[in-house]
Amino acid sequence: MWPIIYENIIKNKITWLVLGLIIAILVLFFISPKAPETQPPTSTIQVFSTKVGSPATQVENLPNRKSKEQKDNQTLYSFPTIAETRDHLIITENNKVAFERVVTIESDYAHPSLTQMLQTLGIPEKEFKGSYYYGEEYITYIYASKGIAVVGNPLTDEVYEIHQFEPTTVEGYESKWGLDLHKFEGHQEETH
Amino acid sequence: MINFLKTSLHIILISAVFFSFSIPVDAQTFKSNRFVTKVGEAPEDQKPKIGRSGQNAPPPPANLKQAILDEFFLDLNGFSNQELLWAWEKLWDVSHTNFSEIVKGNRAKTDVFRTQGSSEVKGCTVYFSFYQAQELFNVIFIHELGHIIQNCAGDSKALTTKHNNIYQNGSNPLTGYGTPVSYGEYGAALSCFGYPAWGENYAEMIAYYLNPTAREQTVSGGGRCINNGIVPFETGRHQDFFDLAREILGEY
Repeated sequence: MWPIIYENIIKNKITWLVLGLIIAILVLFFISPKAPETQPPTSTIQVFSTKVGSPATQVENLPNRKSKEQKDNQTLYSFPTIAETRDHLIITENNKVAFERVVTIESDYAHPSLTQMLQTLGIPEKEFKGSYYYGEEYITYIYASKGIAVVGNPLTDEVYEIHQFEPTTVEGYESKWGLDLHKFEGHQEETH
Repeated sequence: MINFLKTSLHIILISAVFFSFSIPVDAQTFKSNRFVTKVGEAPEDQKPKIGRSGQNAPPPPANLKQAILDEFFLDLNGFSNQELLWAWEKLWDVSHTNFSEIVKGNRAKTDVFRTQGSSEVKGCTVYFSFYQAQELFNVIFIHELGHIIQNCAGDSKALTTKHNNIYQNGSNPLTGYGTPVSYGEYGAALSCFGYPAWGENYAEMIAYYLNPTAREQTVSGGGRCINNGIVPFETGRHQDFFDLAREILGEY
């Protein structure tokens, strides 16, 4: 059976034609430019197999995690990233995933386009300028009712972080998950 | 005909198996998203006119402010002739590095305004104070423009994340100004003036790499900041930051 088939492959011109067509189609499929992303960024930043609302037990199956008990029935899980000073985070609360922080950076230090991300998400409910970690030029774009916040540098069009959480109010996000938000009162170099 | 169909089916199956190995299955692995854009290289005719290693500054032209703008894309407003001359000389001194190109980025120019207060950077604009000594002027001038690189060049050119990785991994901060003295939320290290310490260390790294013989210029700031009184990169100190500065700017 098999030898006959492979003999046919070699002899049959139509088979070669079909094979050529399949290869051409596959090559075209892999090299052709992809259509622009139309899905919301939540599906394109899927670092974790969990999502907000998932059972906490699922987090305990994720690799490379470090966990730390917090107050208020929270557990903080951190996961290493290329930015060694900034981990991915999952915070569980009452045995469910309550918050995810994804650090968006590629191995060559490239970041997603902030413009594209904001175009996809629409007008934010609030923009907060300043971050303890990143500095005063970084803006957190808060979509509280969608359960999303984006931290980026508008000067370089880079996204640095995406936060996902249960939909809430802007004040709810700021008080519960916005601990890195920090308003700087003017940057004055005091070097001499 | 049956043989043909069987053969085709096998080819498709074999192709499918072959290509399935090239598709990552990463439901639980870490990867960033696919929203990646990169800043393209500027056309040759828009690149800054730099690359004259080893040359001293040419005689200053009559309109030095305009010459600095034309050559180095810095619009220095309110500077005295003496300060313009110092800036001209320093910018020529570093003109064989990537400095002017990376400061410029995708913008037509960088605005530098005179301020009566302390020097600072807001966004991609510098507000620059008065300095009486040329070495101090040079260090702070490059320090502030180092913040422009940090803020405005993008991570893949400024290598700020790479800097932070080095900073976090036990390397001593370059100067007192880049040394953490307190910690904000999520453990963010803050400098003696309450700003992210890594950002100040980054600007110090650029400043002292391009002023390798200058002593640390940090002031005490009412006792909050420490001045170690050293030439930061002297005798191979902070080799990791030196190597990173060279990677960003090229050989000085």
